[in-house]
Amino acid sequence: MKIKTLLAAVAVSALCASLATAFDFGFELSNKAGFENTSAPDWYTDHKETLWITVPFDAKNENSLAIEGSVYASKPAQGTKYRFYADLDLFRISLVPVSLPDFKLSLDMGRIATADITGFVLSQKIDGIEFHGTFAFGNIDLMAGYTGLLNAREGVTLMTTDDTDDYATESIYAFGAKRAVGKITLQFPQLVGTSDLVIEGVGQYDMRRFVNPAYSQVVDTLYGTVSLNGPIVDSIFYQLSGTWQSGVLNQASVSYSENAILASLRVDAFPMEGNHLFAQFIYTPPQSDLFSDFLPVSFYKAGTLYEQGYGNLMKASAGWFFTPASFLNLDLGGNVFFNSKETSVGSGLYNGTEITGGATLRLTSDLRFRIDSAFLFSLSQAMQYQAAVKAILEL
Amino acid sequence: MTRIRTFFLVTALCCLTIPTFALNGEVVATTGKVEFQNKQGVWKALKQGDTVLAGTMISTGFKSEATVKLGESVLTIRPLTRMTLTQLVEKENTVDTELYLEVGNVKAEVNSLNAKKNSFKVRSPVATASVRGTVFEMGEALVILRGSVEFSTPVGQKRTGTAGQQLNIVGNLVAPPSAAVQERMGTIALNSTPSTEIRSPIIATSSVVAVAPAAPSASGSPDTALVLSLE
Repeated sequence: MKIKTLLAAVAVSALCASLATAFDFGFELSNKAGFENTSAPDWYTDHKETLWITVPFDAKNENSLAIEGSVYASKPAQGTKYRFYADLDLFRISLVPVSLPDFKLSLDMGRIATADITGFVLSQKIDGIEFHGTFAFGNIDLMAGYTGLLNAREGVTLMTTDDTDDYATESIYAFGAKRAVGKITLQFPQLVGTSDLVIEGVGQYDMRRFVNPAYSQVVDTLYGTVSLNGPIVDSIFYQLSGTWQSGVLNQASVSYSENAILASLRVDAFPMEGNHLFAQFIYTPPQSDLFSDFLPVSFYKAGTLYEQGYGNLMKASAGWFFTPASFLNLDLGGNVFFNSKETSVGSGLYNGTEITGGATLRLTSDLRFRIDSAFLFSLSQAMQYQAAVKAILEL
Repeated sequence: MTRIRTFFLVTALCCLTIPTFALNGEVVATTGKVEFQNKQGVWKALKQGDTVLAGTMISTGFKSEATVKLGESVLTIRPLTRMTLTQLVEKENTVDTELYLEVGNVKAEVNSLNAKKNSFKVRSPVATASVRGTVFEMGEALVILRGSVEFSTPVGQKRTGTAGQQLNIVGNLVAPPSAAVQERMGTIALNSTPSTEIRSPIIATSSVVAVAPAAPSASGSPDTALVLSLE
């Protein structure tokens, strides 16, 4: 009996020792402080402390576990109180269940990060599973997940007034929008000449109708995207995408159609070593009998200081990224915002111009700084500006 | 009847048999420490004028290089490389050359021999480059200097690159040329925690600026990251 116990102890010790030598962990401190003048001048600050660990299950690190959690503290501009919350950013189990000569299947499950091909529809964390299939003809991604267990304080899934209400809380952890989300993506490399063709379908179904029957709005949407990307010449590349959105929003006893499109063309050029130029044009139609505003699963503003999303928008952007030294990146950008159709607020289509500039400095391998600045010249308001410095330290 | 049958059999065999001639490579120049492994498995110095047969493994040391003529094609074996010439044959219409690049970097200038088509392949543990009339360099990435090269992974996924482009292997995939250009930009990733890794092969290879799922950044759009972590 003693020998059995001893052997078991040795086996457990050996397992612990092998895991201890294989796993990796780290601590990252991200602190940002800035000053802005949007409605009135004020300062703001964001702090994030992240602890992460990765445990490989094999020598090639194909099967692994990654866990990441953060605590957040922030003082928004025009706010007097600090806001605190904590979040589990990642709990990802990665496996390669099938690896054949002509087919490979890998999967990530748990709390994972996911995005659609454009980044305009879906780009956030989710609790679920994503399969990645690699075939000779191309690649297939398949994802199914649920957003209702995410912390609403992150404020990404904002599709209805109920979602916004969830976000407006002081709780350390508040459950967010209750949505079942699915995605299928097919990529065919160099199918159209030297261009890749990507076809994608994303859908989300509002589970709030089951979880909380006292809802004020529920919305269900589907998105279909076709994207082409490839080289124009050696150092100039393009990405053209079109997304069709179809959906229904139910409010009380009334239903509204949620149909929209988003078209995007982006051209990236690398004229010289260390120089990257880009130009992009995005179009979404105005509200009409056929279209409503574009309503993505993950909400992001269309600019830095420009507060609105991607509805009734024509946005022309251009930017320059410059790497003068291996430890320094500089960037300069501009966005010009137009309405697709004149609104009752202003006359004409022009809405405003935004100029952004920044620098990233890697002082040591563990310490990086980021300086950001932005100016918005809006048609209806006085000039707004923002400047911030961010320090990221890895321990 | 038997004679007629024999005649047709011999004629058919003659038609089916394709003349194949084994070719030898010739070492044009060497610098530094260049060795080959003989049939007994012993490593010996490789010198200018030596013959390289199919099956020969060649190794170059630090600051060492070898130039080998394979038919009309010229192969430059870069420093710290180990490769095997697995095939070098002249067929009726083609010259088939195949190398296995275990580690390191080779540059190939593929030229036509006796006006025949070239089937020139460089295999590595993670990819195969197939060319017809071109100049390219292959190591961890494929750099095409002239002509075009088809680059394929063990799964069989292919991309064709042309002169001036570089193709990288990302996980099991051949990334588009934009990925190599973007990588050379040396963009500093602001965050390097596991949640910023791009796990989807499609997202990683579909745009110049890959979309990393993340919380909203100061710019109001998803943060971008260049941390590719694909198996």
